[in-house]
Amino acid sequence: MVVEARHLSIDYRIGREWVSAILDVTLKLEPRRIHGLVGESGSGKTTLALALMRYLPPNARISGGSIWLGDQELTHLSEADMQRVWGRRIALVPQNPLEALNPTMTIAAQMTELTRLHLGLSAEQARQQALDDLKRVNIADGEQVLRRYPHQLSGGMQQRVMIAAALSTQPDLLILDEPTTALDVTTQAVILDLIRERVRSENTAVLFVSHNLGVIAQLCDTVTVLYGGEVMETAPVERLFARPVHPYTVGLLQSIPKPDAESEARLMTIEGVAPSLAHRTSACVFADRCRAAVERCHAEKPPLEAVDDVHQARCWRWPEVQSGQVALTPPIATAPADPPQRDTPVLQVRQLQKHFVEGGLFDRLTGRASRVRAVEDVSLHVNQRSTVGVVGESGSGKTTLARAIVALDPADQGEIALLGQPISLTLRQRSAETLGRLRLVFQNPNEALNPHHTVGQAIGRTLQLLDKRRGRQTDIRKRVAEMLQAVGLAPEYADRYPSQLSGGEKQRVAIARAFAADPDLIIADEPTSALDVSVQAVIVNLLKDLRNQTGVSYLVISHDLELVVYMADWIAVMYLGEIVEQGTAADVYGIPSHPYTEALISAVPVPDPTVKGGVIRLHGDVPSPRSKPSGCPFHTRCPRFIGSICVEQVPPVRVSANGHQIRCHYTLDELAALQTADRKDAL
Amino acid sequence: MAAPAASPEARRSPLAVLQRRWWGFWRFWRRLVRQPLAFAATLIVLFFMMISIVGHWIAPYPYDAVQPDPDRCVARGEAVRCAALSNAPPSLAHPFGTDRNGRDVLSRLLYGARYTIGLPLVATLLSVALGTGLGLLIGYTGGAVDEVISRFIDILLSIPAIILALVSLSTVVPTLAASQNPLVQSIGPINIALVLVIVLLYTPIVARVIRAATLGLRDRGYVELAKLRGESTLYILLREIFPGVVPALAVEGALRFSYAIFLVASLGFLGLGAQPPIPEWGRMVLDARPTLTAAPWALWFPVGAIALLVISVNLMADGLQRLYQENER
Repeated sequence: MVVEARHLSIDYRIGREWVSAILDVTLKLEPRRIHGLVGESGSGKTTLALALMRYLPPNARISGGSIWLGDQELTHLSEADMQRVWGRRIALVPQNPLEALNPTMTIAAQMTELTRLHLGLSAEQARQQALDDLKRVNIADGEQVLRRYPHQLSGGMQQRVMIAAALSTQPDLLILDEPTTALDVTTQAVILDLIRERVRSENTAVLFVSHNLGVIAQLCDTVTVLYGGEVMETAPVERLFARPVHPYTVGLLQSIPKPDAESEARLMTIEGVAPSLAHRTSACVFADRCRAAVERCHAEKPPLEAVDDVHQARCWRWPEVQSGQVALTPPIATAPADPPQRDTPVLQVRQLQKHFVEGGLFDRLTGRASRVRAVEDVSLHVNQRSTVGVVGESGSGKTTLARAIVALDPADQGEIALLGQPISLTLRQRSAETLGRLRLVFQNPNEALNPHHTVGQAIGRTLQLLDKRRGRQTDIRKRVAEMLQAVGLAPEYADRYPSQLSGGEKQRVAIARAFAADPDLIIADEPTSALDVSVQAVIVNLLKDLRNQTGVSYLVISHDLELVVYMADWIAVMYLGEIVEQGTAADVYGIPSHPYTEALISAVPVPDPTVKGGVIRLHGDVPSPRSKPSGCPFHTRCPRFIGSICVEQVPPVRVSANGHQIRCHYTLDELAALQTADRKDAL
Repeated sequence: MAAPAASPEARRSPLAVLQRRWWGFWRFWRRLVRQPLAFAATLIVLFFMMISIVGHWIAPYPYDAVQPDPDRCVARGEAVRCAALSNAPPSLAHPFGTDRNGRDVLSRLLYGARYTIGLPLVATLLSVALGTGLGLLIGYTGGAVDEVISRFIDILLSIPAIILALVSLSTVVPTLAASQNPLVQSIGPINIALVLVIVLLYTPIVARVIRAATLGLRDRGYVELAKLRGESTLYILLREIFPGVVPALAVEGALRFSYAIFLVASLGFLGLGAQPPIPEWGRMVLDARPTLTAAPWALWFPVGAIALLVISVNLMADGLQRLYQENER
């Protein structure tokens, strides 16, 4: 059954006004096809997805257009009629399964609920079907899972249950709203495989909402790009990624860091911020940020024009973009900075260890407290003017490592040396000078800035306490202005509060503050993961520029392997608190690599539909650091598992001539041989 | 909190600061006006507070003067002696009537406001100040300090408030009364004792609320970054965390105020608060009880005043809470 939205418009009431969130969107979803809906935060993608099932908050209204489910029109149905549509004919898998599953009910109760209500099955029939449904999402021990409560399942497992439940009534439309965003990349790969194979075997139309272009490229058949609540471009996936005609799509695709790119190249950025929907003008909604915008774009809104029968774009200049007459290429690389100096490390970390003791005073006294071995035996060097990346999934200990280095959670054992001088592991014993040399940038700029302090106060206070040049106090305001200028913000920003800034601007302020004390090393914990792709590109470029200007070094912590490979010249891969591999970016990304790194690379969805990602999948869950596996910590999931040696013995660190280290029972040559053979097979 | 001399804030032009402050106040006001009930309640509370300050100046008669009954006067030589005008219904001369001793109820209400509103206000401010300091400290420090003080608070809170009040009043008042300190004597031992009791009762409650709010803030990134630039604990508490607990503080403060009013009035009614002839409103209710049928106005006006005040303070607290929730959104 075909599902269609025709000229759909949605308004939100904010205060006393109605604000247009979705304007004139037409979508056509066909059975057995996956339709991708891509857009940055605030583009209205979730609103649109929920509107298709007429599931909107009370302050929203459908102000125009129609929604067709086959030959039934939904916008005029009553709430009671919609209840027969929800769950039966339209199913939703939301981003966070733990919020969608009821924590007080077993999986069985929640899965059978739908089929009993909509299909009229008996309790026994429903249970039987739930088992079958679980089997189809590759859950073998369905009986076990049905008896569990949601919190007893891992994130990947919860999302599988959600998909199984959503498909249990064989709906006409399945809406997947960022279903893998909350998951680790290796789990995401497994879930995407599952969606791909399951959906094709059902007679269901799928709307897949995501901000991740890689996921969209690997999964979808058709893609719609949404911006400011309007469709910018719709095309089959290969066409959209190979020959986009809308400047926004072009910008989005070029702002993704690619691991094979020249590391001095700058990322293409989309300047400016997402439009405020409160004032829709007659201009093109993207005109203010568009590199190709001409006068007409600011005066007149372009219609959604057909490029050909499958490809549509909303742009006045698409024919010129298509023929290459409009230059949208990324700016040229900046002059390369002085190369990293290998012999003078800024930071040396030797055999760092951090264990957390869980449980209260009573548990500790009775010896029942459990030890979480968060970071174990980690050694790492950061050279001057270099960027070192630490990659790992959640629970790998990468954030704990960062916090131990800056002494927010002091390490138990080990040594940390800054510029060759050993420094204390605890914060109180570090001098102001040390604090100023070693700065931290947080993942979420909302967390990092006190909402009650102005930008000027935030930066000024750091200058006042830590700036080595600590001049007369009258200089501070001038220095704040300089710092703001260095990150591309006007001096007037000093008087603003964080709530008056966009996410990207907040992160710039956080970075300006980190640079305020003229540091030698900045530790950046997921510096861009709270930001949109186009903003991420701005921040990544900024970090590169600042490094070239000031000669600072970075330690970048991230779950995003591609970003780290793009930014860093040395990479450490962590798994369960240990560094399993480290080496130059090229070495880590190439052959040989640790089996875990191999799986990570394989799991990353490549933002190019013609390149199929790797086939190595990690099954099972990451073991808890409370009960770390013996021997090699990765042996429970390793696709290159040898045998009892992996279980019983801690693997040695194999080091190559250029310092590439892999912790594995295989030698480097053996790994290289195995991996080269596999790649040949795959081709 | 004075801004550190060196921060850019300090050197900003006073006008800009004023404009910003004024803008915040203006927005607050606009939102408050949009909630008619809370707005009216706030006006009523402000009115009562004003009364508690100026009440004894605008009262038509002294609070303890027995009013003469013009119909029952006897001339004795030069002097005219009149009988007391007891239990007179409301009239132009006595809008709220008179009580059984012939005293003007309106004047007594106006005069007594300073006890029924002033005492709880002072006590609430004190317990809010102490409780905030304590709550910030134990919430931020955590560990054994928090454990010990929190358990102590739990014990205090497990004793019924009225019993704790009775016990402490009965021990504190005689000690204070015996004191020769002129300051104590001029304020009045009972008034001091009442304030102390309320502080003892409410400081732990405020501390617990502020501790919870602090717990939610102490692991925020900006607090950790403050540690990383070597800020002192005092700076972190006052400049980084305190502004974030102000919403919780305002709501809890308003709530404590309404309970404190009730407690003072209740103790007055039990005869434990202000002593005659001080016209504390709870005490007025107690004194008017025997003449419930003969002079109901002497009972109903103080009861009504207490009820109106407490309801208004509660509605104001609700309104504040809604304002801050809107702000967070």
